[in-house]
Amino acid sequence: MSDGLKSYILPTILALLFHAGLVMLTATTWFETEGKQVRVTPRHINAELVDLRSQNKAKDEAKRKADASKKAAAKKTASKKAAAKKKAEAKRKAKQRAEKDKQRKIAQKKKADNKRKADSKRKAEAERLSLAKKKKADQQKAEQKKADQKKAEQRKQAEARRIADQAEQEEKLLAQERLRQQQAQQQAQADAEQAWQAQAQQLVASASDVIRSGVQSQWVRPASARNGMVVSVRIRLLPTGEVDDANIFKSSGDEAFDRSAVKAVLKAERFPKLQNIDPVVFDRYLRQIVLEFRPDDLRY
Amino acid sequence: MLRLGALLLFIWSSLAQAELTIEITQGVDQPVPVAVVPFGWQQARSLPEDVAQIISDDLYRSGLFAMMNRNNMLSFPTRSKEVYFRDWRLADQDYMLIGQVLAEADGRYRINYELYDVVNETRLLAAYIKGTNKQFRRMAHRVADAVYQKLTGIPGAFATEIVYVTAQRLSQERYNYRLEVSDADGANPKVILQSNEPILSPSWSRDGKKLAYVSFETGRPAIFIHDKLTGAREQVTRYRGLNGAPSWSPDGKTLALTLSKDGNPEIYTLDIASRKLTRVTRHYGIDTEATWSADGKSILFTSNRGGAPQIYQQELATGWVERLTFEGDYNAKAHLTHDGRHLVMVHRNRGSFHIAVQDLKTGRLDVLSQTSLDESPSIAPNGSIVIYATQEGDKEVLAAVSLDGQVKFRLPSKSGNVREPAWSPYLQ
Repeated sequence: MSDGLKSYILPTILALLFHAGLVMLTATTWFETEGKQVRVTPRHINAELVDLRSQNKAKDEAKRKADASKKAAAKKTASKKAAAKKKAEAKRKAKQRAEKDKQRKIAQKKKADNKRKADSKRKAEAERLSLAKKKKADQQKAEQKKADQKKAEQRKQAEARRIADQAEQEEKLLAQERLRQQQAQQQAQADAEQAWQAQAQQLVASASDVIRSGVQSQWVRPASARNGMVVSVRIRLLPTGEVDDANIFKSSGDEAFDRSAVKAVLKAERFPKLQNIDPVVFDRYLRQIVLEFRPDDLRY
Repeated sequence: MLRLGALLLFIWSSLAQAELTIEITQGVDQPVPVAVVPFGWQQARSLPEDVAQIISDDLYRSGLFAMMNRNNMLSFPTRSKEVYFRDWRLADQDYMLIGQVLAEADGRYRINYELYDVVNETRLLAAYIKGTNKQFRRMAHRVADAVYQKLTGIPGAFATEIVYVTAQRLSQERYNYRLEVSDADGANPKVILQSNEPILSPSWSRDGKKLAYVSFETGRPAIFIHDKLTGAREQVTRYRGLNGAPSWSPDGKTLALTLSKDGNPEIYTLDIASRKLTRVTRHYGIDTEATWSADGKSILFTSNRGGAPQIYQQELATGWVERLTFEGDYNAKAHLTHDGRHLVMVHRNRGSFHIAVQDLKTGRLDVLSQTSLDESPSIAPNGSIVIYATQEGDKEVLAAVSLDGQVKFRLPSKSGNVREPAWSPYLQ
């Protein structure tokens, strides 16, 4: 290692310490905010659930106690009986005990040895156990910390989600409002359009009557005409009500019959009442129309 | 999506509205105004006939046209460049006919004619016809036929003829009977046969060259065939009893007739070439007045087998008989239009005899004439007009009515009584 590098050690340590301090500081503020937020979130439903559970616990407790007292009483009576029996047998047992004493002493010695061995073993075991316990506790602590962190994170996420949800909700409401307004506007427009349409239809119907009667009064059918013949004539009208043009659109196949239809239109020449019609209605419906000549009043 | 649908609906509806369709189901039954302008003729000598007037009269008699009076015409154009449609439109004319007569180098005449649609300002016809100076009337009728066909869609039947019988009383018991042929308008009458005994039931062959009729000239009824051009006559039946009501088959080879040689009147067919007679009807009732169906496969006749005279139809091949008329207590003298759809007959309604037409497709019967004692209907070859005999005062005259009953007119009155008319087929 060179001297140059060594000179960096102190500042590096200082910087590390400084950062560590910063981390510590921010960490506390973090936990502080978490604490505050915890207080914000309690829910009624949770509380009720806890209440219910505790009630159940109390009940269980009472039941357990009652059961225990019952068991104790039963045990007492049982022990009394056992004592009487014991006395009767004590004499017989004393005899047997004397014989057995000798054997027991040998066995005890053996046992003591075993016990010593077992004790040392147990001690080692206990030591190992306590070590494991400690380790476990540490682990648990770490896990707890981790869980806490996780929880905090989740909470934070939930909060963010809640805010986002709220914003979304508001956005939705706003959109709905806007849509409602639009629909109302559209409805109004549609209503106006419908009213206009109705009026237009009425105008068109009356115009149709004017045209029909005008043409019918001029239509002289040729001798070849028969009921059931059909010829369609497309006519163009000027806003003055004059017939601008009339052409066979769909022929009947009978030249004289076709000509009679065109002639009827041309002779009708003009429908003066049409010039009083709203120009928009005229433009949309009456500028070009089709007349279908279909006699039904002939003899044949 | 909704907006798009609404837009489409709107476009659709506006498109549908652009095709606004108005139905015209009724018209007027009024004559079409037509102006027939006097035909041009450049030479000093006058023509034997006023061609334009003949055409105008023909069209007028059809009942379908109202002819413009010449006195109201502002000009007499004879060529297309002289036609000013505005003048004629202001005169409320729908059509106008102009023409000119030209003398040909061979001494014949040529008639040029042009038909105009005044409202549409278009020319519908431009043609010519040639003939001798004796054929002016015939030429005029042919022009009228062409115009009629153009304007109505139906062939004209003006250049046809009518055969009929006149009876002139000479003294208390003597009559003069004549079989005459004239143009369809009654002009140019020619006597074919004169007799002091009755002549009945003339019938045209389908080519218009021969006539069959019943004559009593031998003292009793007999059927003759008469060649119109050569005047040659031939007696084809001389049976005991009734020999009557001959009718030519469509192919011209067979005559249907009524004979009572076997007891009571029955219908027979006679093969003209071989003179072979075949009995058609077998019934104790009276069967008479045979006429042919359009296809020549069956015969229609009058029979009283149902109690009162009615029209029956019998198929020649199978003998199958069908009654055709049910309205009224008397229907007789049936004739079919050439298309076979309409049956024209004498129909008795509350004691008076009228001409009636029955639509065989619908069964509908219409009484066409309002006069009484109407007899012997005969149909023009184009099916437009029925000619018949009727009573005017104490005189028998000929009258005509259009098949739709709209037009009625009298034919020019002849001297004496006129009866038994028969309209010719189309003549070549």
